[in-house]
Amino acid sequence: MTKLKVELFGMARRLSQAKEVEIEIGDKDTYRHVSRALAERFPAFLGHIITPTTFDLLEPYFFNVDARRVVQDLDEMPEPDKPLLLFFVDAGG
Amino acid sequence: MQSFTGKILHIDLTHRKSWVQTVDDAYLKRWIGGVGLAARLAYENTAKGADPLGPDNALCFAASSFAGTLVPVGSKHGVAAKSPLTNRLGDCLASSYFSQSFRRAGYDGIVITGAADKWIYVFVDDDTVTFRDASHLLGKHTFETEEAIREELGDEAVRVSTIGLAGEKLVRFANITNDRGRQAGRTGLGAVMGAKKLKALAVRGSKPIDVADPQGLLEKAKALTKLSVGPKTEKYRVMGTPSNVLNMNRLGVLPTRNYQSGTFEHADKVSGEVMLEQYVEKAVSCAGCSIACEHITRVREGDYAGARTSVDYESLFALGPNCGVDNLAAIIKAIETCDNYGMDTMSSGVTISWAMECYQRGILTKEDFGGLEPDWGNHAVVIKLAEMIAKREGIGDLLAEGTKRAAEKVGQGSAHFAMNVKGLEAAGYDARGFQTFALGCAVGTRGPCHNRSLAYEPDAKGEVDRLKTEPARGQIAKDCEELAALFDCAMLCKFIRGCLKDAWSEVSELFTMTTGIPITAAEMRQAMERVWNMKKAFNIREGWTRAEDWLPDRWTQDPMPEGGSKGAVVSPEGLKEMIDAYYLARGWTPEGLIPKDKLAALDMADVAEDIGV
Repeated sequence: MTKLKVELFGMARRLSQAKEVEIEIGDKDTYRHVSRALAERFPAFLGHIITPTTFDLLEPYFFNVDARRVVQDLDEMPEPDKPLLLFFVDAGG
Repeated sequence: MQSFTGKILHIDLTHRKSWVQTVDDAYLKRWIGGVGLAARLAYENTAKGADPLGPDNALCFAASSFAGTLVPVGSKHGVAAKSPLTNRLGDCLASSYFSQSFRRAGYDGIVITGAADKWIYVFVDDDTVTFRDASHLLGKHTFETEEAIREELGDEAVRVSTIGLAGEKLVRFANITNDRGRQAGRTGLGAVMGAKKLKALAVRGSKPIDVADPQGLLEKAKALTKLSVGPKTEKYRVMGTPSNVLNMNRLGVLPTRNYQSGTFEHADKVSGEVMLEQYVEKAVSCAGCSIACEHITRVREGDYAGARTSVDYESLFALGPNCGVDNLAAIIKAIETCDNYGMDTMSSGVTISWAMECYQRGILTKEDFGGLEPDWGNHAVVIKLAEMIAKREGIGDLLAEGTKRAAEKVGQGSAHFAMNVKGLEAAGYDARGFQTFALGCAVGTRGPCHNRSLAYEPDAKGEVDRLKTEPARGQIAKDCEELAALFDCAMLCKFIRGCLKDAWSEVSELFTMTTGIPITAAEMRQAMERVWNMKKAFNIREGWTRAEDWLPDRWTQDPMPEGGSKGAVVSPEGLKEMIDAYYLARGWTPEGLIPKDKLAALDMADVAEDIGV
């Protein structure tokens, strides 16, 4: 097991009252496991940020690896040495 | 047609007369409404080469077929004229009750030409237009003017678009304000109003707005309203756009100290989270809006106690981190100052930050600032400078011209960090870290605008590598512009875009349900391409050349020094390639001009002669 740092933004930060958390992941775990672990840690995320059944991220949320790469597929393997951002970006009006 | 009336009200301030022009279904189907219709009206009614601050510049308001109907988040209107800031088309939009009011008065558009010989306001009372003395309103803040006119006319139902002192003083980035804080901002159309000695446009409308398919619209509106209060808009409802502060900071694109960095070390102190916990009084909505993103803040104690205004991300970045300010109460006061005087917060902040960098580099001195010391983070000076701009006092007279003209006057290399394109100050996303957006900024018809180009989305969402250029971005930028145009012309708040599965077909359906004018998604796409070409044609007629489609030197020469976009710079070669690809995607010539056959294909051959093809 290794630890993955997840930084929280926007509603995720508000609902969890945390700026960042550490999630333990196994060798074969994917980002979907990370999403599930976040939902277990913060049940308030369910229905707001994370889909209860599949643990997909609800729009407009997504994972971003260290501000450099957006995770396109939750079934990818995480990069434990890089912080993961639970993120959203929208603007306009 | 229904919803629309086919009536355009013309108001000639010079001769104090008005008349009504009629337009048909085909015309409205070509220009759709909002920004598209306003841009077309501006093109038709403004003489080539008109002085933006002269009587020949037509100030055009245009409705949407959704305003005042059941369509949620659709009560908006477009405004267009030749911009005194860019000398190109200035197009903007605002929301709320005023948007509904002039439709209820029976008009799809209002075109204001000429100039009054003394200060007046115009009252459109359904079919009656009167010209009323405004001398007693001079110097009043925007909100005060609205209230004073309502009181004078004795009717709370009167809705008012007004200018503040900044518009009176012809500040080149003055806004037009309605409904206590809704701004037709950017590009300085408030100065166009000021040049016409028109303090306000007041409207009372009492006519019903019929729609073509009431039952269908009811069902569609109910479904859309339900979606609009779901998780996809929760962050807007709960936190508002300032929730972007920490996100942009983490990506390294939060403009800091006049875009010298994309990372602000005190971002945590000015975040949307802190704002919500310490300053938000309530969230309010525009008329007919189910989202209610607007967060009214109030400062309760300290030096700025009593300051109260709504705060959006763009205002916050510009007068906060971009000026090195880490005091949220002071930022609220600075925004309130701009709002009261009727001044664009983004251009105000970016112009002030340019002046602060001039001071940092010794280009401008304490004496130039009348004894003020505009060190980064000196919030009292930022607020003072905003006031001086509105009043055109001291150095405020220079800054009221915007960064482009100010840098031309000051020289000494200050144009390198004058953060504008075509004269319009940049938005709250450092383009070095969003390089598809960089293209959107370069080619935007009104300048570098996140609202006209949604091209930051593919960057931020990882659909492309945000830190590099590539020719494929040309098509992407075009598509993003036309999607933005859809929301700006049909007129839905862009905050609902995430709730639409297929924006093109759903918005087209709403347009037909309201107007009875059949339009397919493909026809709507073509209409948005037509609108973009219309705006471009306006600019070409005014002398646009390819050289204007470029970025400030800072973005093409100075690598980002730190943070999540460290090392990023928009390479000039890459930018040129993207612009070439963009022109190709648009079907324009390599010089960026619109060929005659393109105009014919878009059913706008009538502008060919004007633009020399």
